[in-house]
Amino acid sequence: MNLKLSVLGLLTIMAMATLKAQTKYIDKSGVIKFEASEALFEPVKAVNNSVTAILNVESGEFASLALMQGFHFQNSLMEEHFNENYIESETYPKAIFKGSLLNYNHSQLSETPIEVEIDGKLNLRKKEKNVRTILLVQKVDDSIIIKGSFSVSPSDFDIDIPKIVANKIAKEVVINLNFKLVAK
Amino acid sequence: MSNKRKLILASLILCIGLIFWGYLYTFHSEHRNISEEKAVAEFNAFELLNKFKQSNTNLHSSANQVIMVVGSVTTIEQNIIVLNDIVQINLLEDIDTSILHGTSITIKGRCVGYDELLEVVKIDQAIIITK
Repeated sequence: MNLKLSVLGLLTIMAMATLKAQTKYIDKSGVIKFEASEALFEPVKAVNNSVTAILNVESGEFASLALMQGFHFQNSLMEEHFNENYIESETYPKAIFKGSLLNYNHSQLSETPIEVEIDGKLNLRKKEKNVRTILLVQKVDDSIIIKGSFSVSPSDFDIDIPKIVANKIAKEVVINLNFKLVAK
Repeated sequence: MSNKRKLILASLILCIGLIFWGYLYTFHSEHRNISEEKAVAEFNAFELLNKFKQSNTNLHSSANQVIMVVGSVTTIEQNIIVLNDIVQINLLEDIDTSILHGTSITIKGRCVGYDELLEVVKIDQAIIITK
């Protein structure tokens, strides 16, 4: 009897441990693209393929981190200017978003994407910007796929655009995200 | 042809050359070729993490530099390898099947920075040197 009880207890603990472990979903190679192109000028866009995203499926809390050096531009000189003159990535190496998916219900997820609102703060260059947008969330096999976009402006983060290039860089920077999170 | 004309022609050619060079420099500068650059330092995975954790400021000398890292493979995913659960490496090529969990390898790549959410150092454009 005692043995049975302890086996049962052990199984319960193991089950709880598994349940606990599965509240966090992680993507360590998420994709963020941004574009600040103006018509007729050379496209100003970059992609980062190693963005981190973490979602707590119980609380809906969401966090994401992108290292600035991880953004790649087609034009290498543009990449250099982005890091050295605009973002100053040596001093401010990362952007972090922390927020929550509102009214997130993990059990409602299916292969059909549903709209979920997210609210949080984007922190870059020691400046904070409130971000509220609609994301598309779906569950495919064992992973959660999150897609969406929002826009910010360089002035939100005290990024000075010199007058000489001001008309080549859009005032609104569109940021696209694509994450595939798996249970940790 | 008078000397004056020769001078005008020469400066015209020089101007066109400069403009062409400027165009190439602005729009067609080559990206760094990380796999051909020489590594500036070599660390094991723990040393590298400690370097980032110890630095109080965000400023860090290793970021954006080409380094070599030695460690034991703990995760393998498509073209991503994690060493000792603390250094995440994005490889330029897909991983060959001879690399297994626990294999000790040396890689060379560009240090991107420290990711405080996962508590890992990220490296990209990496190649495997030894296994």
